[in-house]
Amino acid sequence: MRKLKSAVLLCALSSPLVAQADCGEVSITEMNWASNTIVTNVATFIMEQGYGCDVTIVPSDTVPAVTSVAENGEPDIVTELWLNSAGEAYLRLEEQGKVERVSKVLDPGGVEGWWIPTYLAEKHPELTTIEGVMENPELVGGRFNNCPDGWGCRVVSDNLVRALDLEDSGIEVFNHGSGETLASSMASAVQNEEPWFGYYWGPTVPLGKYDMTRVDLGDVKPDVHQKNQTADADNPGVSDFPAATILTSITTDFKEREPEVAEMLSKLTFKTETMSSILAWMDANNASGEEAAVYYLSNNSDEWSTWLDDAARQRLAKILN
Amino acid sequence: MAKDIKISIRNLYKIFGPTPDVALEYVRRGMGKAELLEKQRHVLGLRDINVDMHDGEITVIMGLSGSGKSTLIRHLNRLIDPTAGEIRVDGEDIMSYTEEQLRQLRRERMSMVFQKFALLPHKTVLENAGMAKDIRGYTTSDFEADARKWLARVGLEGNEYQYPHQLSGGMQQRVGIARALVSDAPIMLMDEAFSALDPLIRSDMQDLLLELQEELKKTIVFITHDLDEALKLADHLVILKDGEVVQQGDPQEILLNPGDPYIVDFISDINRARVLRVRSVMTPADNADTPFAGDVSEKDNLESVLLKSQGDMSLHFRVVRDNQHVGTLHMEDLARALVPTAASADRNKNAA
Amino acid sequence: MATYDSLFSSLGLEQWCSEGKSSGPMSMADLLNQTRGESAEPASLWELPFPSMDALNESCAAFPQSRELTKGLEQGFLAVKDSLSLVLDPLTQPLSWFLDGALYAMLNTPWWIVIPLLLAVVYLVTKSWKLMLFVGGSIVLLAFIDHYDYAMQTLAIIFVCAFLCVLLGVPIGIAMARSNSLQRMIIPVLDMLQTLPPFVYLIPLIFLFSVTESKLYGIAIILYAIVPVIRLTNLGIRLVDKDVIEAADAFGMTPRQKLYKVQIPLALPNIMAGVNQTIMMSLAMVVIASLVSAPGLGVLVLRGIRNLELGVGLVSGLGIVILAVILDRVTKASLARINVSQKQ
Repeated sequence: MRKLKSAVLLCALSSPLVAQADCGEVSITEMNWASNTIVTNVATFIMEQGYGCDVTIVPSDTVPAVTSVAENGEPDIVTELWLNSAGEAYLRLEEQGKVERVSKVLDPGGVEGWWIPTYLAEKHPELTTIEGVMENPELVGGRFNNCPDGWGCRVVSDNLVRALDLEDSGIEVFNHGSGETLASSMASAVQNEEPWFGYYWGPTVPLGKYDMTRVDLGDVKPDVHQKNQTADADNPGVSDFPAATILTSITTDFKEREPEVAEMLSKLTFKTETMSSILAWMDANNASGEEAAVYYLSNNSDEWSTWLDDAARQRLAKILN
Repeated sequence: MAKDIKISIRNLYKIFGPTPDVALEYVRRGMGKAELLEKQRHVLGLRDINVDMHDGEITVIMGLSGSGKSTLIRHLNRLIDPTAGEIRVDGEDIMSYTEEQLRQLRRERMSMVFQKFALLPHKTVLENAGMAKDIRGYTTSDFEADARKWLARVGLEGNEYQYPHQLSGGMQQRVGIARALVSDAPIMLMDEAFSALDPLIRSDMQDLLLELQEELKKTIVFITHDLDEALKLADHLVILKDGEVVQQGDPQEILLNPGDPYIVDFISDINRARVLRVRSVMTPADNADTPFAGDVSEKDNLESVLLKSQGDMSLHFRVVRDNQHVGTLHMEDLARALVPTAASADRNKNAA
Repeated sequence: MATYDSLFSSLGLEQWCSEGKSSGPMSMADLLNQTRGESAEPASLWELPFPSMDALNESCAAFPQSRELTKGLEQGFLAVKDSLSLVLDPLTQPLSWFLDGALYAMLNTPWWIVIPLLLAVVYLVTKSWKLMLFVGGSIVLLAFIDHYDYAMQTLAIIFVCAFLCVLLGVPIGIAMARSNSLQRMIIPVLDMLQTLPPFVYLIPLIFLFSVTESKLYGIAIILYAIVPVIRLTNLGIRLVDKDVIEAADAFGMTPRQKLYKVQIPLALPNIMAGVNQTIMMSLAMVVIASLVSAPGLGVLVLRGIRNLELGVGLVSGLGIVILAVILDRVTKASLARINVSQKQ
């Protein structure tokens, strides 16, 4: 521990930027999808420039990140954690008091569901409900593009497919091998104005880029959805996907160590529609996630300045005005 | 020479390099091998070769490495094409052959034996022997009897189903010779065929070749760098140096009257008594009543006569061919023939 | 003011530059400078930026940024994809049929036929009882832990892909061996195939074909695994003893006779070594192939990785290793049989 402190001290001394700040080393996840890159880069910028932290970005994915926290207590901050993908393992960590959810980083949250391209919905309005789709399987190409194996949505979709008897209606379920092929199949279909029907989620670049319409699976029944989250559930029911809770979660250890930063993170929340518009801007300008973060920081300072404490606001005064 | 000319080479040139035609002009104007390499970056392979090879004879082409002998033999079946010149086989210009005619020539009129045997490693001895027939489209059963006969003839009875790698070098070359014989081609090209073999086995193979030739009377072109081998086998000897013919003719003739210092050097080391034959040093039969010490054959070499004379230089022998008196051998002539040529002494001095 | 302003003004291009639209998004570096209240101007020669497209764009708005290059590539591809898929789609369709057929046959034939059949093939090519017992044991083990279907799917895919690799690779290797200029052209392509990350060419392929086509992963495997069989066929034929080739010529073989009677038989040990490598490399690709929806053990490995189900990942990984050992031993044993009759 003493060693760590001296290392922190050394870091602080060596960098003039953090000279007057007291924040140490911080690790934060960066998941492999676009909105998360934006969230992580915005948070990193504020922590480094406003609070003088020495931030390490850890490229990761939902399940490995949660597992790593459980086993090693690292990384300190897991942001844009989709609660439905993290599942039981995460809730157990909360119960054990190892982690704490500090905010909903996207408000109201993520959308997931089954989608068709909007041009298809306009041409055949009956396809906007699952009953309509099942009655006209040929109109959606006779195929449901399912999640890859190992994703949380795969379990739910598989149960829904069984509950709906989707395959009996003449729709073939195609299990994708990866998120990349799922996205490319959607992109390719939309490019060619062909029918497409499958699972997707947002806010993401593809959903920001392509005009998609959600297929109504009926009401959201929380208990049914809960049951559908278990693989091969007995008597799966039909329930649409509820809005997904997307969290920023920090280790309790980190909260004790850096209360000011934790305080800031608890206020760090993006409106889902703001995020969608940034993603759309990102695609239109062919920009990177980092540039999108800069775009947000330079255009929405009134929004993010409310997250800061006074000291940080002072340090960032130059760009706040 | 009474025999027909089987292969005739006229004004043959071969130059290796990117633009041989240009270099050819320089060579025709007299540029030498070393100068051509230095100034034109072309290698002179062969220069103005003129050789006639007679039917049923063994023509030996002899030279040191780099003399162009291997290049020359590959012109006869056009494995190498000349830069200029004419090659006639049975009076036909093979340079004008189409691809199909050329293939016909290689398949049916010429066979070849190689220094490194060049057998097919994945085929049995029998299949290798029948390779030429197999190429012409015969099945194994068609040529099996023929292949077995020739394999037996070269001493490989019982080895038919072995693979080449199971045989010794000498045995592998016997397969190579059997392969050439099974093809029934009248012309046999032998490229340093015995050079890779041990001296003892080489001598056996030479005897085998002479024995076969006695019976088959093929036209054989034999390449070697070994003068003893050349003199043993040759009916007609061609000596090459730096791509040029320095002397050609009856080997006995060359030995007694070397036309070039290069050849003098070459022949200085050999055992003249063993190579020279009675017919080369005898005088024609006269009626003088010379007392003969005995009969010798015109084919005997001088060594055997020396043995018979026990070194007595005053003796005379009657030379016979088919029991007919054809000449007289005076031992003094024999002694004179054994005197080494003058220029060799010069070289010996240098060597010392 | 940016570094290369003077360059454009000295070339008299200011007019053209000013016609360009305003520059692209702000970078993190710019924002950091702004935070510190410093200008973006490099202080010394030490910090001189490389005159890259982006650096030049800062001085001249009309100069394209590098992101426009990637954008252009993307649009170019989208523009030609229709005509491209018109040609490539039917051309590669048999691959889908082969793969689907092999998978169907493997899974719908009862195990008590498939396993003895596989063992018979093993015995036929290796003539070794020991090896046959080992293979039998391995397959029974996989079947016992309920990985039979996955293993057979993987095997079916590898058989089809390796077979097609040999079918295409050997002629390409022969053509390469016969022409030096062709060899010069193909070698860089082979180098590229082995180093280009598969997803880089797989994603464009999804735009050309349907993602549900099995040929997609077939192509991924074949493009990667075909390399050694081409290389070693080329090498093998080039290494055939020159004296034997000369003998073949001297006895009047046609080029075709030379190829079938001399070159291929003599190159066979090398070609078989290439086939062994090709099979091993197709096996190495099964996990990546599963990312584009190939069935088999790769799916289990992916599930293991994604859900951190260590047991699932380990067992299926072990399954792949067992298949690798089986295929390697069997091809090596048949290679050894060829070598025995070919010793020189």
